[in-house]
Amino acid sequence: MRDHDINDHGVNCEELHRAVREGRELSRDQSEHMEDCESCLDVFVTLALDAKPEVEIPADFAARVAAELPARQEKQIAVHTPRHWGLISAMAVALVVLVVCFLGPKPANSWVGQVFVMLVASEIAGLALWLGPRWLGR
Amino acid sequence: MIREHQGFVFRTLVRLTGSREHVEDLAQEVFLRLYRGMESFRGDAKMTTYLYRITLNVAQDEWRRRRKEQSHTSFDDPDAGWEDRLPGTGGDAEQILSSKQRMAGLERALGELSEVERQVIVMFHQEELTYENIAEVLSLPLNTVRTHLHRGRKRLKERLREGRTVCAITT
Repeated sequence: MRDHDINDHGVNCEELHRAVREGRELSRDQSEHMEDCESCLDVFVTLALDAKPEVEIPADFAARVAAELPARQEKQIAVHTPRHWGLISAMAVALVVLVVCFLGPKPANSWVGQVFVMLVASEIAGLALWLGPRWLGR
Repeated sequence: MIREHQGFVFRTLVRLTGSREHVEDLAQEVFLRLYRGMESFRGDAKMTTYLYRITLNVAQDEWRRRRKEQSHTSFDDPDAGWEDRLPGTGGDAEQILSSKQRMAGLERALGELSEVERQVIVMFHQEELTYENIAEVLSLPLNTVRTHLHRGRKRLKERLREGRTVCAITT
């Protein structure tokens, strides 16, 4: 251990640690010694990394960020609006299928045809109800 | 919430990007990303952990962008200022290193570490996060965090030793 020694450079490790802690200027010998001495370099690195860099935060920074938020939210809503059309078109298709079922030509008007078309229409309506909220919430 | 955490965000961005340039814009981006992400935030992590993650991501993006820009800097470009970054263009090799110069050397050395080592070191030393917190923020096992911290500090000291001459003759 080279701690607390007076070494080849004539540098006292303890004195050097103090100088680093107090942010004092180091002599050339001390600087050279620090590169070679694990303990001194460790003290410097730890203190330097622990130090929080001084930053200037504008006083109105939080207010400016907060003001930016609702504007962005409105933009997002505007983008979501056209997605209503997916739900509306699916419902329209289901309605057309039901109309064809009750007022359509003979094969679709038979009870087997009606049950089949009702099933298809319910599936389309179900799909619309299931996918609608997902599209809207995207 | 912004006021409470803005100090952490600014400090971390400054240290991880190695520059104060555009730090305000970057900090704003952090809080906007946090706001946008709050819709999908499920509360299975602490909000601060989430904020730390976003801050690291923003810093990482900026770091990569700058590195890309630097690699495209042309030596023919008179505005690039590349000559200022070359060592040995002036100054006295025998001059005493001031504490400011030593700090600048350390910041430079920090910039030469890997992204994850830099992140672990900054969170552990500067922001005084525990190993557990860092592991949670970075989604890494505890032992990996310890290894990164140990290896990062070791490499930092090696870089400082290697860079001694350069630090002494550049101002």
